[in-house]
Amino acid sequence: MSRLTIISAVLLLLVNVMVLAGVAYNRSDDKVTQLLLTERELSVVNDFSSADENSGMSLSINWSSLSRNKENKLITQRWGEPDWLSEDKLKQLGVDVDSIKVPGDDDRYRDVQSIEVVFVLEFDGDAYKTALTIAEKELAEATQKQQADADNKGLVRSLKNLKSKLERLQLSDTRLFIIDAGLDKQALIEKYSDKKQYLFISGELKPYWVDSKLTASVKDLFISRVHVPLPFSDIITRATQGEAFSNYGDEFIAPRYAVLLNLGKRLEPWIESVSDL
Amino acid sequence: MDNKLIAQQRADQIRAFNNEVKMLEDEKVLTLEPPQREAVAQYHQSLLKTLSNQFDIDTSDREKQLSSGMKIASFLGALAMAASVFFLFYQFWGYLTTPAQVSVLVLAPLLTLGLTYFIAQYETTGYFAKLLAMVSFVCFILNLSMLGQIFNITPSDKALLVWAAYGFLLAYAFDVRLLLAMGIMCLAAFIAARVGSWSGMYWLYMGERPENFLLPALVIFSLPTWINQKPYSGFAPVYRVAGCLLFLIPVLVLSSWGGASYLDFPDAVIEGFYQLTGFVVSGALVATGIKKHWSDVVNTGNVFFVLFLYTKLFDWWWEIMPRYLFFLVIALCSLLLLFVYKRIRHHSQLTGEHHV
Repeated sequence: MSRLTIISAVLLLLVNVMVLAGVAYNRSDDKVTQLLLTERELSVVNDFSSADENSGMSLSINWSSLSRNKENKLITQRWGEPDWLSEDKLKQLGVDVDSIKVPGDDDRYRDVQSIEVVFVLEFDGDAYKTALTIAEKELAEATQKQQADADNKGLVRSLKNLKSKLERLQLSDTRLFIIDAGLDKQALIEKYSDKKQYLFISGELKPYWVDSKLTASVKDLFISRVHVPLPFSDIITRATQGEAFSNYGDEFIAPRYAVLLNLGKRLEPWIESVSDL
Repeated sequence: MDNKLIAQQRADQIRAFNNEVKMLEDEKVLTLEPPQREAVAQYHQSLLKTLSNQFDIDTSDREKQLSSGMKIASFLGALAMAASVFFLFYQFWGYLTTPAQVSVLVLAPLLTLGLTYFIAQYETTGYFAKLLAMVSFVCFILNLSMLGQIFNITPSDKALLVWAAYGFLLAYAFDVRLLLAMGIMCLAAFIAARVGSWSGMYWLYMGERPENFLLPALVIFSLPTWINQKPYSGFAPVYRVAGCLLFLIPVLVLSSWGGASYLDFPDAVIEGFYQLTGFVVSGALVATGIKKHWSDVVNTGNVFFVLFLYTKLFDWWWEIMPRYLFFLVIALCSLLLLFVYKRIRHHSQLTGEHHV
């Protein structure tokens, strides 16, 4: 056999051994965290473009965050600018805030280099409770307004939407909230030490300079899907009967399965078990 | 004889020589004596036989036409087979347990590599071996990307490096230019990703900064000058063209999108700088190509010089000129280029450089 063919075969074997050794290392000894999540946090990915072709199953990690709207009110929003991402926090994360703030012709919008960080996702914690409190408060205020002006159709519609929003938040919206980010994985693991409440996932943070104001948002999680191996994919198929999960508008449904998710040393997750709800 | 391309050139030369001698004899300009004719014919016959055995070259026009057909069929077959392997796995992987999935993924590139080697030993044309080598490469891409998906591994740019290495190894082992091009693309993407991550960028977004590709372009273009490619047919032009494309496409993008640059200057200044760079580099490539007899570089330089010129003309005059005048200017520019090339051609004929 020619020398190049032998080197090719060795390369193939070596690379596969290294990849699988990395997987074994990630899953060895103590797990970093182990969370019992439901379909609210891990819903089946529906890739409609290849629905007939792909027999594999993966779950999308659904997360949210608390951010402020234009009136500076705290709201629940996935792609907003998280409230905890202050200027000081961005400095801590290595963003060169001072150089971004230098006045120039591009004060309306300035593109700033995004940074790689480790995000902390809190499950069913203070952030979720705050989101519930906000929704309850909004509903109470709207109820008062509607009672004062009973014929106002706009207020009736708004009240209905807020009721639906609260119910959705209680029943089918995710309880995973991004609450912090850092550069040092170990420091974050030590700071958020409750192994049943936190997930740590690497991702990208994008700072912006818009209308002479520095802001930032979560651009992406590097692991945004979790693969479902057999036999767990069968359990999920049975539990859902092929019906997609919905948490939009008024057509939200209760979760139908629970997933015990582990996070390993390399912050790579895997499914420990799946059960019907 | 170093490679198939040079062997084929020699065979074409012999065929042209025979045709020319026949014409000269018909027109009574030259008459070879029978012993001379026989000696030349015998020598050519034996040489063609050796070349044919060694490199599987085409010794007649008919063979040449059939070879072209086989090359096209092999190329399309390789692409279709690779796509088929990909979708086959995609369709059935959900029904396999994790150990079975891993076994299939690890074994597929290994088995196809073995099969490629086996077929290469028994099939002289090499078309089937090249097709299988391509399938093996795709299996390896599938291997790593699907293992990443199965075990939820954080995506890494190192995959590009090992794909590049495998592409290069297969290309050199089985003389496959398409795999060389694939290897070059993976290597360029890896270097661009690394250059991007030095500036704090996440590697998957390397394309957002076209300047990341300038360094890989220089490395790839210059590779045939410090690693001898003569034993491999047509490999040096693949490196050179890939190098040119990896340099000139980002320059073309930056010449109209200064915001994507690392340079800390106003967009208009950056765009002007890259427009000038585009003209200078593509012009220099044409000149170098003519001097070194690299027709591939001359053609690439020409195409980009014209592209830069027309882009600039569009920027300047599309809005302010009536359409008929704009296209007339384009036509006049083309005529001007024709005159320039005619002069260069005439000059090279005078100096005896007519092999480019």
